[in-house]
Amino acid sequence: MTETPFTVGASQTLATAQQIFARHRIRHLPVLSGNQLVGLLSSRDLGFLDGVTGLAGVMKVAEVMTPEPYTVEPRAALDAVAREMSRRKIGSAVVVDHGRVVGVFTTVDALRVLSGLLAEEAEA
Amino acid sequence: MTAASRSERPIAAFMTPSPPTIDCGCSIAEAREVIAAEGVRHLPVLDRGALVGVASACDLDRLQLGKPNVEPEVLAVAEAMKPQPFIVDPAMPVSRVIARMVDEGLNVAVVVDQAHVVGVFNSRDALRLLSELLDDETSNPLN
Repeated sequence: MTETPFTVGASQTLATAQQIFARHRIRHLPVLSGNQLVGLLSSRDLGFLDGVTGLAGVMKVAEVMTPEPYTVEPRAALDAVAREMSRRKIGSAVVVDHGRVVGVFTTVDALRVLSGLLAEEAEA
Repeated sequence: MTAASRSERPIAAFMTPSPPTIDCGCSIAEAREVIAAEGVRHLPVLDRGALVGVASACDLDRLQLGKPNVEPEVLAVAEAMKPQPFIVDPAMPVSRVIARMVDEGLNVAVVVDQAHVVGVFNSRDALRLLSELLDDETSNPLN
């Protein structure tokens, strides 16, 4: 997974989310309401803001996020997580440890693992 | 089959074959209908039969959100698609396709054989392959 100590509030603006993405060079932000995980925001979700002025300061994260994201524990078996993501046709799983968001596992991470496994096997 | 041979197997063995495609002149409303009806994530976009881009449901939504006052029946797929997709030959080894996707941050490869789209390999196919590989490792730990 990609560790992420960063989150964003559901009622915060897209401009705030944009700043977090840019400052920390990350692509996914778990979205919280209070202490509760309520969604996931991808930097790609904000692509529509390109060339549009003013909207980012008005629209809220809750309007654009993917609600009720798929969550897994840090010790979840990777094959089961990959299979479930494939079955649900989703691109990410939020990793939650005892109620606290600790990371996000995305298809980018999956491709990286896959690439490594195939390279290892080719050398074997 | 040995694991080593799997990394050299052609992408054609792991792709989703015969994907639906859409013409670049179609509207994003029509593209959404195809995506929903076919249950796919990416649509190769054609211009007079030639591949010119790929459009995902996210791309369509993004264009629509950026132009909230324009009807989806009026917005063309060509405006929403990502041009210059990653094109691979059906015989390209899966390990090479995935290495390029990792290096270049790509989430879909379009498999083209003699100018015809014959498949797509996307993150869903990659997740399926990953779970199979890990299953095999668990079943045959000495391999």
